[in-house]
Amino acid sequence: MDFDLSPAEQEMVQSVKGVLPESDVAFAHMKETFVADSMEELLNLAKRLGGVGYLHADPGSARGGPLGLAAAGTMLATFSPETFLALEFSSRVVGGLLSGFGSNQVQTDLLKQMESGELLAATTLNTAGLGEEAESPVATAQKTEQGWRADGEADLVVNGPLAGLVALPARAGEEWAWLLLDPVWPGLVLGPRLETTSLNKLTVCSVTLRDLEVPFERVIGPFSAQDSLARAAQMQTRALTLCALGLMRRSFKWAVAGAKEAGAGGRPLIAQQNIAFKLAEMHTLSDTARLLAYRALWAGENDEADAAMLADCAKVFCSEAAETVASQALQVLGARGFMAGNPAEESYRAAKFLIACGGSSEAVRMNIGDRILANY
Amino acid sequence: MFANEVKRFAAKEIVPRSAEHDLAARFDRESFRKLGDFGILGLHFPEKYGGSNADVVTTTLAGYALGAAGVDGGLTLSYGAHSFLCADTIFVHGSEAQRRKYLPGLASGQRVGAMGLTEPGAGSDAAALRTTAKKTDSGWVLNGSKMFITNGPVADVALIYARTDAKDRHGGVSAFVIEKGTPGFSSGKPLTKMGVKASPTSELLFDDCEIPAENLVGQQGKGFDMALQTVEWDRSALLAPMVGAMEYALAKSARYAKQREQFGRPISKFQATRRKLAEMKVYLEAAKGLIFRVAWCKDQGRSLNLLQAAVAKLFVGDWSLVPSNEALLLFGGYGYCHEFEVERFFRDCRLAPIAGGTSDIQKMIISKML
Repeated sequence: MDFDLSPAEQEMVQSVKGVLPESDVAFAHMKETFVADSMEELLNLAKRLGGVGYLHADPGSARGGPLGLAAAGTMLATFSPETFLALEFSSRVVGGLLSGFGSNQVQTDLLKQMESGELLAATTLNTAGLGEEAESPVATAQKTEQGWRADGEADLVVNGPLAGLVALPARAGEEWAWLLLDPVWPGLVLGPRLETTSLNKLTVCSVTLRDLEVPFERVIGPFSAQDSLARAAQMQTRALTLCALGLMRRSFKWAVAGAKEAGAGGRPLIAQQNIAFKLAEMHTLSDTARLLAYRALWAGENDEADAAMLADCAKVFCSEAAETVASQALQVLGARGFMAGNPAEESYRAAKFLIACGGSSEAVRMNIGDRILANY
Repeated sequence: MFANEVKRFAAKEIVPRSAEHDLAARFDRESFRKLGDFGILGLHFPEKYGGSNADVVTTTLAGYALGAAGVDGGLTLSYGAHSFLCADTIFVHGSEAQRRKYLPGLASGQRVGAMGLTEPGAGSDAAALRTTAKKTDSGWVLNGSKMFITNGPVADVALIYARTDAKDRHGGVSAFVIEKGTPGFSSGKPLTKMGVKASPTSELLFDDCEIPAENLVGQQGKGFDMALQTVEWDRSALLAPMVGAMEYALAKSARYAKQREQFGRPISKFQATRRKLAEMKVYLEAAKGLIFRVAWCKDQGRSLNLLQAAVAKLFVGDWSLVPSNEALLLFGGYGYCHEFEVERFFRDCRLAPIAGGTSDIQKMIISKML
């Protein structure tokens, strides 16, 4: 069973499938997960994906449209969640900013390179924990005669250690600006690559700015907080939601295949109702999550009134479902599931990232609650 | 727009009577007639049978709107059994004469319909039914009983599945239409239930019940397939009021949270309250997509997708318990009292994982298809 995709959407999926290192992304190959863990490797893949239009910054006008891109992205996330997230933060989060708010020159100089996969961009992860109480460290920027001077730090910059462009939000008085920084500029210091409990090949570091001179043409804005920050947050939510779908598919397929193998007594595990029912619940969660995620994307692209609410609902539901499905997959597989390096345990750890980051489940639930109260 | 019309109608004409009928565990025939007058009961039938030619998505939307307006689960269950399990089967499989005879009265609500498949010994294992229909020179003679029949005590028309071939487990089942007052046909005492109380439920009894040959619906031996055909309605329009009721409970909870004060401020200011509201909303939106997907696929003329139907039923059945519980807890002591309605929502929701195929049956279906 799969969702209906139009021919154009299917074409995008097939194009991305054809670009992946193994032309057949079948389950058998998932164990030897391809992870792009060097700049060269990642850019090689990015160039191939850029060549088929997958890295288009604006899902609404991309080849295959938002759903085609989402389906292709889910497949990529199933194959390699780290690669998927690295490219989403670059092309869709930073690329979306350049596409929506950047000058013609910025779009010509930087966006085209990003969309063709020649340039990888880094940006900060939304770390909102418990709603209005939490605030991440931010950079500040002041206008000078020559450009802007920036100071401060950003603590979790995705793609930071590998990127050729670092896009950071900075407070500019009462407003916000986006600084498009070259990592080799004097005054910009990349921290050491951070170690994480999962998604280990997704490179993350801190960035410190000290009296950094930024030319006018490398600053977008300033804007009110609702504009560009909301756009960046929306794209992060989209990325994390689709990644959750990929993780679910990954761990679920692994569990089903494992359950069909002979267990104790020569009968396949799936012949036991305890196991079969667990798999049914996992499928129900996965299928429901995918439907909700796609509906939220559709609502966003069509400017539906409840689009932001739906996106938040999808983020909470999909990320938590990904953890549940992975946990159950681990359980179905027993000791095999507990061994390091299989898709179930990897997805279990990775799902934590999706639940805790990009707006934690707790923070997003507060947003949903606030919106509900405002509606009644 | 249409959904808002249904909501306005229901809020004005039906909802003010819901609490009273639920408390009294009494079928509200007047409200049922009003549903017919408004066009809900026969919405998807052609105009010549008293309907409005609506598609499945629109019909599902109407059911959702009834729930979202606050109509009790009892009345909406009676509507579902009447329109989709009884009337629709006559519409799809009945002869032209049967359609003309029964559908206008069922669409208008002048007559109430019921469907009898479940038996005391044949619940989830529907093919194990033992009620028999024996061919005679003039027609059929039915013997046996049916259990947990929605609208049983008030039904004017019943669509009954009975065994016509003892040797063929699935192919030996046929459907018959039987009218109230037919000698040998009676209903048992209404059952006292936990929820959906305004929907009367009873046993149906057949004691040498003779019916004419023309009361056979569809082909002999095709009854099991006919019952299966109702699954799409069951997982879309029939579930829709229950999903709509989640929206009603959410709205009611949000309004209550804004006016109820504790520790000197509205409870909506507490994170625990906002978390409950969010929890309800997340499950509501997840469930909504599932029922409308089944409806949309039926509109496209696709063959029954058992997997999607089972997922919809399992999710709405099991996961709807979360919002109903959250709503009850948000209201605290008042939530436990009948006057605040959420306890009715909580009781009504408990039926979702049981009726129309239990959650365990859905898990069996899904796991077999993996």
